[in-house]
Amino acid sequence: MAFQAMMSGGADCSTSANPLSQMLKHTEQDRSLQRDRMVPGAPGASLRHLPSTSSAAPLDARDRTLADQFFQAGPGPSASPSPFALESMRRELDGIGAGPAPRAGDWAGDFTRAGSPWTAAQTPGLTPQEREAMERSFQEAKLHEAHHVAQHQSAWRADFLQNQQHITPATAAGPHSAAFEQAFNRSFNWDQHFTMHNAKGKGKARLVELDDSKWEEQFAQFTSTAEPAAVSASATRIAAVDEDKALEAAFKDALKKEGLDVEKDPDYLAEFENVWNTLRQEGEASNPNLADWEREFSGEMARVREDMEDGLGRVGEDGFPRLGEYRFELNNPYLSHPDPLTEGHRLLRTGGALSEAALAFEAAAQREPSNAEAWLWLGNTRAMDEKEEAAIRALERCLREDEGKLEALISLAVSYTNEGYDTAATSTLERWITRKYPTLAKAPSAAPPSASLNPWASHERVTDIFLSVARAQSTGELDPDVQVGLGVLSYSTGNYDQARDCFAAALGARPEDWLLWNRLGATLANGGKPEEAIDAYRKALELRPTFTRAIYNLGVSCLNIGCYQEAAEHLLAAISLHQTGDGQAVNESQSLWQTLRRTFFAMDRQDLAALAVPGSSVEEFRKHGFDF
Amino acid sequence: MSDVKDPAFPSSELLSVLAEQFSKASEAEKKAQIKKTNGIFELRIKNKEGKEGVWTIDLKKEGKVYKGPAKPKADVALSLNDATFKELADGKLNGQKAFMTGRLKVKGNVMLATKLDNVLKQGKSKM
Repeated sequence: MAFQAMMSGGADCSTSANPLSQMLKHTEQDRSLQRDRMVPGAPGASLRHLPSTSSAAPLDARDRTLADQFFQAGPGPSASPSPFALESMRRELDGIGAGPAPRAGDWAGDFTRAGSPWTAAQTPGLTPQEREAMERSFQEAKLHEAHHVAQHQSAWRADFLQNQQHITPATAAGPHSAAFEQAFNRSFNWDQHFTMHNAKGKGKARLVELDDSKWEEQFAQFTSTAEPAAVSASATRIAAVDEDKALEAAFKDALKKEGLDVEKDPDYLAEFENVWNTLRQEGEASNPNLADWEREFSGEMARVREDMEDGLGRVGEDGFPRLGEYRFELNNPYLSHPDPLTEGHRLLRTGGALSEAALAFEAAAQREPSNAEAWLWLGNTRAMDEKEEAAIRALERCLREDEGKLEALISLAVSYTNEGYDTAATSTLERWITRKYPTLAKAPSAAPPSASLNPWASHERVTDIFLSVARAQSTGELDPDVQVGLGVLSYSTGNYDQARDCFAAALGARPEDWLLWNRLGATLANGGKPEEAIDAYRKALELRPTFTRAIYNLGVSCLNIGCYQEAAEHLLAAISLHQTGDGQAVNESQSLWQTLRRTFFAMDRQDLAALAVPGSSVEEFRKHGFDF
Repeated sequence: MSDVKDPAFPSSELLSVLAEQFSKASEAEKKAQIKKTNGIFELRIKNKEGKEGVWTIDLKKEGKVYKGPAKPKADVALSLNDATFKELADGKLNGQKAFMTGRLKVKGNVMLATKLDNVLKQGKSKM
């Protein structure tokens, strides 16, 4: 029955017709409790949503003893010497195929086995709403945890140990308990497993990745090994086992259909490596099959590790760029200014050059590194000045100083989208909306679709949240930032028509906002309407003539419609706005020079293209007939 | 690049344009794109006759496009037919829609699939 429910999905299924993802999505729900335990990044936040002790299923005496027994017992009465039942795992491995398929040990399977009664809603315990609440709070916590790893390892461990009691009653109730406990004892050691995960020290997000598909199999194979012990169990137990077998079969099929694509994900591999190493030490003598994929696995691991240690500039596994700290300009005249922050604002107000304003804000940030406002304006100015990486660094720093700075979240999401870090943009927008509209954002919505197979799963989820907030506002006062967020989300998946509508709506509320005019322009341009885009850019430039980014965009659109001369002139004008002082700036704009070079190639002027490198003087180009 | 293009696959024209762009790009540009994308995409394109061709976009090690499977190993393999790829490259279709309608299949690092749109589009306007 539960299996049927899983396969047919119901109203809360993702748009993917993939039965595997539906199953995974469904089973993901089960692990919400477990995950909450493991996410100390926002212990208050996640625990807030947990049912308090009083509302959990009441612990009766028998359950409590079972719980104690189960948690204190070492390897139980069964035959297997290893706590990880490697032979059954290996059997599973052979059955599935030769791909690198690290199994995280039976603990995950066991936990899921524990989770199965929940799935079938057969036992008391958390209500579906509470599970959803935990699931959602976990998602939110997950977003925050990327930066909170190290210091929370001991915290969550303590947290987890404290809370172990809560898990057992729900799962151990009734006739399931005896078989469950026995099987659990046989092949599991909670402490050891969680220690391993701690030691690895990666973000707790890894644990989520871990859960996605492997544990289902372990759960299935675990069930098959536990079967003999369950012979005396009740009808429900037998029914559960049958379901499990059917599940296992269906799961295997689905996996085969998908070609085990989840196997190769470096996220899984990173986490599994640690687990696997420990398993290897404790496990049986080596088996030739094991050795093969083990080798492949460690090869993958070396590659992943090398990527991760590469540091600055690489994209992290969470999709966020690793750009490092902000790099200040040298020789900043504003460093001796009494109040650079005010001066920066004055420069912006009076239409001064953006590079000047940026220097003023840099001085402010250097003098008061904890002033989030300074970082915010530094980031915004750099973005307007077509220096995206600098903008991202400044905005990220702003959020480290004050994670509640809403405007920074919007600006950062835009910058991430421009640079192609779509996952990061989606997460950032999610942060924004959950901060600004906590009640609406937490409204019970469709269960989050599985992230492992649908690359756009989180994007869809966040878009739904924005849509529901926007709908709630359609009668009352419209928040232009919600429209901006929706616009950015639509833009990043190429849905330019919808994005255009969103930015137009935002402009309705803020017609003098040059940033919005530029965003509208970019949307039109990428949507294949360069002439309309040019109109929007001109509007932006009317409002702010030194808006370097809009000038750059003008250049790009002219290039796209074939007006190369004009394009080059716009780009050169933008570059000249940058070249206020002598020497090369620390924060150069690669995009301006690159696009200029492309323009020269389009004009068939290799000679000019060769001249167009960062550090060249724009004056050179006047000689070649460019008027700017 | 003549070796990238394959007359049996009309969409490979776009791949050869992409290959050219990469070869003309400066080292700094290539490095920037590599850092941003950090992935090796293997495109398995099936044409109308049912023949399958494989191309690789390496934006992790060397920053180039070539015909044939990935060397050493792809991070993500995308399976789609010729018409779908053409629409993707033209901007008429985006990755998400292609995936939803089942016209694009993804194996491996699924997060990289979301980057494909950016890779195919050079010279975007900035919001």
